[in-house]
Amino acid sequence: MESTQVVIVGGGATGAGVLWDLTLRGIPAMLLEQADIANGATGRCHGLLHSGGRYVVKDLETARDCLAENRIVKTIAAHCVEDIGGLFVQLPEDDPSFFEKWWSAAQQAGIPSKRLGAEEARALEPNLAENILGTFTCPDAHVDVFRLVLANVEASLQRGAQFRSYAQLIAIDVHNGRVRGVTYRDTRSGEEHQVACEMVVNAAGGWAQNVAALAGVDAPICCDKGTLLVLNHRLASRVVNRCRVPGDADILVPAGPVSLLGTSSMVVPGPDGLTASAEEIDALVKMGGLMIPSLAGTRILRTFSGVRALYAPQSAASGGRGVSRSFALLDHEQHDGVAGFLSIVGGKLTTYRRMAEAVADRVAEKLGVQTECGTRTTPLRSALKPAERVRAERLLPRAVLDKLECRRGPDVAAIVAAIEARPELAEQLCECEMVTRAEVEFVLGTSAPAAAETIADVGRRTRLGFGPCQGTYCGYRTMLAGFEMHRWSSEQAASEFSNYLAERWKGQSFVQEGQQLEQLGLSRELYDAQPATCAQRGTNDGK
Amino acid sequence: MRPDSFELDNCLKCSVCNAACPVYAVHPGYPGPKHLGPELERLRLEGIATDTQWLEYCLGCHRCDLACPHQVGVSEMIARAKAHHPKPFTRALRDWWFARPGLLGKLTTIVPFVSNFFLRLKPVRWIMSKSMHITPKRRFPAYTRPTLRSSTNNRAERVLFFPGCFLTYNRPDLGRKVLELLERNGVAAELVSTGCCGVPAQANGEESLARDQAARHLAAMDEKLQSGMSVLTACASCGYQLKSGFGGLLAEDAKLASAAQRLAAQSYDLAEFLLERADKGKLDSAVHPIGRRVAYHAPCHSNAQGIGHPWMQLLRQIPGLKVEEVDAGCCGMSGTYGFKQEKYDVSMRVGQGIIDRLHILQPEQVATECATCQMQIEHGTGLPTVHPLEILLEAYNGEAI
Amino acid sequence: MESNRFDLVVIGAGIAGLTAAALATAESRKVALVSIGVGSLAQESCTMGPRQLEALPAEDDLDRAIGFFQEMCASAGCAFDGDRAQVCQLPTLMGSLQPAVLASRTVLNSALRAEQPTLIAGIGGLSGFDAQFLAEQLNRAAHTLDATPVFSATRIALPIALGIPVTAVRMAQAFDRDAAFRELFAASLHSAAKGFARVLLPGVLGLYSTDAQLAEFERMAGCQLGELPTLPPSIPGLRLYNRLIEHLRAQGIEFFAGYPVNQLEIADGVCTSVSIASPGRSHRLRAGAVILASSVGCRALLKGELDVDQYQRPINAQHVPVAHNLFAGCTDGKPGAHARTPAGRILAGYCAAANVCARKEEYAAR
Repeated sequence: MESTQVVIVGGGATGAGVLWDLTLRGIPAMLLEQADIANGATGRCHGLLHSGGRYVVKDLETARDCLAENRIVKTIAAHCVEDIGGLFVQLPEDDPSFFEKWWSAAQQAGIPSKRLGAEEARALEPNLAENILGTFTCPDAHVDVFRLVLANVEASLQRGAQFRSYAQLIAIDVHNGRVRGVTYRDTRSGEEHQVACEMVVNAAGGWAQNVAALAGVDAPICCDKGTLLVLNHRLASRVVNRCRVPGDADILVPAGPVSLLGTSSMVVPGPDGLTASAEEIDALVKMGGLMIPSLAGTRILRTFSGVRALYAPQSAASGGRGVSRSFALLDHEQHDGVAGFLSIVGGKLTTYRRMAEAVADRVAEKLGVQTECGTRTTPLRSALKPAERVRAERLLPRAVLDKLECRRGPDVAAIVAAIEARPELAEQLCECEMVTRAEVEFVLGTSAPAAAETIADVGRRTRLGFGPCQGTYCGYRTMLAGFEMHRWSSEQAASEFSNYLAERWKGQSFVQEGQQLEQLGLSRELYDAQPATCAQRGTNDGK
Repeated sequence: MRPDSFELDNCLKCSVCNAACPVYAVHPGYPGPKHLGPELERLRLEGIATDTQWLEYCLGCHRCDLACPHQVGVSEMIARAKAHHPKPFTRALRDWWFARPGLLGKLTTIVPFVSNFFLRLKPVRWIMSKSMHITPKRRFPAYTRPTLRSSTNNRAERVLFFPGCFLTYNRPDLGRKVLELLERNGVAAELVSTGCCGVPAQANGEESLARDQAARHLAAMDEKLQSGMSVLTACASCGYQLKSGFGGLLAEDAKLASAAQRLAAQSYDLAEFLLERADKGKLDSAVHPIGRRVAYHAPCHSNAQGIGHPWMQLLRQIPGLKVEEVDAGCCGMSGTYGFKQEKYDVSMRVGQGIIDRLHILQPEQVATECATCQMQIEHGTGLPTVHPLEILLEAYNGEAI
Repeated sequence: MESNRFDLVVIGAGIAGLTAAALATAESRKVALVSIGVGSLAQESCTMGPRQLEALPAEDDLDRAIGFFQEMCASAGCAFDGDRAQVCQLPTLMGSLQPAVLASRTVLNSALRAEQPTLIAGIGGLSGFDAQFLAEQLNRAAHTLDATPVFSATRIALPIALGIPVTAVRMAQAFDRDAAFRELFAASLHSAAKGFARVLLPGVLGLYSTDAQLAEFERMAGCQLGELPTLPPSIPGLRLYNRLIEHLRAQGIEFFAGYPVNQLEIADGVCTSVSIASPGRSHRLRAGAVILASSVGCRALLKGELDVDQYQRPINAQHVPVAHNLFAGCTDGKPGAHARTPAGRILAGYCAAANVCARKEEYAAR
């Protein structure tokens, strides 16, 4: 029987943020995630670190919160953020009074912004449509969602916290109106484990209602689905927003070498079994093309869908963008007489830390811990020492090393040592994202913090397979690397790869024509002849 | 960020370009066109520092482009990356000169006898080797007064003739042979003397110089082009550049871009032009037999023009001439590349296939329309190597050159 | 002189186009072959399974087509072995076994052979290949077929530095160019192969090697060699392509490589010429007949569903041929379908060319 003081359910940004906050306050905690990090909304969004511009007209309060958190995240998680800035562009078909309202609201909210004419805007971003009327700049940024969640988890693990992936919560033990433990099942081995604890924090996002039900309480949410497209290359060097009342396909976010376009909004019954229809995708391309015309001809690498879990206290008749995006902390001791159970629902990625702080404050209060929140100023990771960097420069080309350092920071020292001992580890398993074999072995190693269990996990930790080939080549090489380091037997390795491919193929299955269809065809021809060696896993498309 | 134009999205990472790349085959450190082109291009667009000295090792042979089953403009991406690639001073100095064969030609041909003399002196070559990394292992081609002039005949059909730096400053006699060949077939050629085509500039990373050169040529030719005149080249690289290179460089200036398209549509390789006339029955077919075994090497920039091998077809019409194609890859010279000390070995290893093949074929003469292919073949085999037009003219005149 | 005037222009140099061009040349036509690049041979070496063949119509034509293809490959020095009646099991990239009847010689050499201990040799530093993984997987696969597990694995080191990692392409290029490399390689195989009659390697044995050269290499290595599939590009596939192109060019076919066809000129129901999108100005080839043997080309040039008449000529909605001398060498006879399998493609190319050759005067260059 394992034990801790607080069990957190849900390995998204909120759950990971709570883990870190509690850890900094010295409260022992364990994070349970049913799949891998950022499996829910966190891993299926733009990765946009809002400056607040998107909310500034309708919800000044939220906008101010976003701006504050935007600055904080850029400080504490600098290695996760591409601080590229953003634009709010005005198209001829958009309401001109909204444009003016935006400007004055932005001033009120304190968002640093400049007003630019069409010429200047297109000088900054040549791919913008010729008919845009003007633009505002703002401090939007892109945050690598997986890196962010991982950073919170790894920092916590270093200080003694615990994390279990592929751990599905199956029971919450409530005794005399008080939580005293949970049971989870390891979804890969089928084994069940019990954990004794004093409190449970339900940060399960789209599954929050399911988790709450295990404690016999209610966490009413409304699931609003959004679909995004991953485009093969960087169409803009800044975030491009459409300056209008939030609607579909009005955000394009550069994310590393690719661009993310989204999103849509429709209420769905739950977070599982999400699909993107051809019409949805066409609509996204068409709308996005109004801002950036060359979108129409750009290769789409994959599509994915996620749900925004919005707090909907009354019966969720209205849904979607109308529901507030601020969060709700439900204290079930007060609401429902179940002590030691908190639910945190709603919110958005940009304010994850603030949400986590609210939760941790309440937890600390209940546990009688006096320590204040430390997450506002404590960096999530230390930097790589300059001497180590120099040592690394002898072995790896600069571009590869820059990416590696961004992803792994001080761990580069260990990775470089591995390459020095075995030069073949410098091989790039993923050439699109420049991921070396040494890095893959590092994240697959059982002693790694938050170690990868599957090839897709490796992808989330390194961006392997996120490029044009979508894992066709690098997934295979990763399978062999995992086999050679004895992480998987040959049978397991083959099965891992089969599952990985199935997931990768599903995300490309929308394509009716074009380059990705050919890439998919190539992939299928190479591998499809293989007899299925393992049952398909889940139905959710991953990023 | 530049508007998209290289079909970056077409890349399926199949690596066929690597299989076709002559440098990849001989140098284990060379990352290959797939990496230097589309892979790094995605990262360049991301703003990552992707510069690498390996960019300099691209021959610019375009074999990757031709092999690609999905129309990715691989070599164009690499050429653009070269333009942003910084070099250490000595190499930069050397490449500055190599980018300007027109200027070099003008200076050396003020007193060619003296220039040629100095360029052969061992101590001079030693200094060049130490100070500018120019390999002493190769002979420079001889320079001579630039005496090439337009045709004086006022025949019915007029064309423009773009000679290029080699015919202007090294072999004006060959340039005159071009004019002779054309005149014999009822065509009068007007010389375009606006300087270098821009291939050496681009190959050495000087994009804006190449752009200026292109603009100059277009300014001089556009009026005549608009009246329907054709432009002929006898050098494969100049030919490829006129048919395509300008367009890529000038994409951002709409007026120049359309002028470049006009030029491209009216450019002909000399053999291509003659062959078309032959098809219409307008080519002088009175050729004397030549009993000789000739090996023909198709320059990479000829292949890149996508017109087949017109020189070989023309030569095969000469009775008694036995023409075999060498077909053993790139010669490795690639203009100024083979003169660079640090690249000399790569250059020779690339060309080894041709050298070996010629040892087997044992021809009496080798024919190739690219001046630097000619230099490399002579350097590697010692076989007499000529421009195929010389053989054709010989057949017309019934006498050896 | 009649340059650029051909009895037949074949668009697409995949195995359909190569077969079509070869048949027409064998029947003394003047042939031009146009292609943008290698095509599916770059990805896989075109093994043919029994089900592929069973799914095709026209038994007699199929026999003739396959026979012709095999003869052509043999003459080109890159034999395509196998017997339709004999099904064997070939290893795949994942170490499973796939039934096949015909394949390139070295590929067929890697078939499962009952009771014969077979060594799989990985190569130190070679990216994307693991002999141990394949051996374990193949033994498991053999077991499910009630065959004795016979595969074991080893790794040989290559003494010549070929970069990190070594890629199959580089190894193949070194194999072609460097006699010393081949000797060292053969010596390594020789010592590793002690006690084994057969060694299976990743496909790296050259992009241009002939059967004779490979036989010589096997002699040096002292054992029979089979090539296993790798991640693309497929070296045996590229080798087949290179050898066939060289062979066809030696037979007099003009090969226009690197640029797509952008237009078919059709007037009065006759396709008179094919335009290649070469730089600057399209290069026009006048044609007596045209075979479209490229599925990409079919889609681009014919725009819309591909229905064909009994001679394999694309037809419009009124069932009239688009041009009476235009044939599709990319359909295996089923309306609207592009030939999807290697066998289907060979049949398609063969039949299209046979139709052209059946009417010599009608489809001659004009």
